[in-house]
Amino acid sequence: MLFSFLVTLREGVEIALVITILLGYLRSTGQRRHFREIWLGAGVAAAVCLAVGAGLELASRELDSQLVEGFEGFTMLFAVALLTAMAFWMKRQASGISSELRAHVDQALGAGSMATLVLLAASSVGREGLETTLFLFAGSATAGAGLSFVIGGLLGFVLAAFIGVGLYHGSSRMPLKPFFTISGVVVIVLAAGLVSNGVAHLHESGLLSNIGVRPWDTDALIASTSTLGQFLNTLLGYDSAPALSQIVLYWLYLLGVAAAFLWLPAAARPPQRAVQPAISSPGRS
Amino acid sequence: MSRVIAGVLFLVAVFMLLGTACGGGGKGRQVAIAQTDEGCTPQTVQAARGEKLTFKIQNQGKKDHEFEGVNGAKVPEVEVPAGRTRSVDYTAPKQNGTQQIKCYIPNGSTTMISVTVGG
Repeated sequence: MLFSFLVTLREGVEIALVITILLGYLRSTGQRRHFREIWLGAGVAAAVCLAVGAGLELASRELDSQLVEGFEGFTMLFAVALLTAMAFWMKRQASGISSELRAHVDQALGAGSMATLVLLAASSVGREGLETTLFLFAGSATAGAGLSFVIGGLLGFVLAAFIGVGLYHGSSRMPLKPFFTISGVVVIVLAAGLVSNGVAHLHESGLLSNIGVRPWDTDALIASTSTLGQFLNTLLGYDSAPALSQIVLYWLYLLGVAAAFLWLPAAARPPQRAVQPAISSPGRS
Repeated sequence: MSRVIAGVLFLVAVFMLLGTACGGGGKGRQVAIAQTDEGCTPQTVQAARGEKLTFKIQNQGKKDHEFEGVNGAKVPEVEVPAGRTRSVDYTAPKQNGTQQIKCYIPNGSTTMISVTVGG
């Protein structure tokens, strides 16, 4: 439940931020009539993400249980790679995302193509949405309880929507920079758990036959089948008897990526491409 | 900044409480399952309708085992590493019938354990 809540809160705020920037820019330039295109694009993105999620879920049900383990294992590791890349990307872009989106809106309006505006909204929202879909699918592969996972996810989105409305009306005092730093660290902690779980699933599928010795067994303390054990497994990758490769990869990932995320300076952004003016003026010849 | 951190910690605490409060799980009648590299025993288990069972699974082999309900049997999946013991709670359905548990080594021997309910 906490897993899905944290994921949808973080990703939901990213989506809300993108929509707020788009709508806010149209509002400030007196083009409220184009709000429709933005919402249409967001709707298209939501539909695509739901379809992808349903497809992943159906695919994993159709397969034999041992194949499912492998499928989930690969999805988890793929989700880790994507999430890590996105956490760093978000850190780098946090300041530039607004001006970039505005430039794209100008381009779309300048071209006079409403379809382009819909597409811009759909692709900006869809990128965050697909990330959410993959993250939730990877997490649900280990989550014990079905309903609470859904409730947690919905709560996160609802809270993110409130934050989005607050951002749009300028009333929200939400400190965005600390939010993305803290939630970035949360994402890295959740992803580290997926590293360990991904290795375990690949082992259970038979793809990795030897994952090393298991130095300890804490099952008597917190059983992996207990509610607390499953909760900690989904959130932190708890395993009552982890294999050496799980332990090593977990800590390498967690410490290495968290340190890089917190202490490496954000890389210089590539130079902004020149924005074509909306109305071309006759050039001096 | 510190208020944001305090808020996050508060939420984590709330969810931890929610997570543990819903759990628990009463221990049912113990059923011992033995795993070796050749397979699992016993292959049949009797249960009354709605009876709570606790499978005590002991892996006596050298390879890690998987234990999970299949075809709708509500036995949570558990990995039993070589030489270890794990417990799994299970509640038999309220109707007569047969349920199946798959006990296997990935890429190795597979044993289907039938749980006969009622009868």
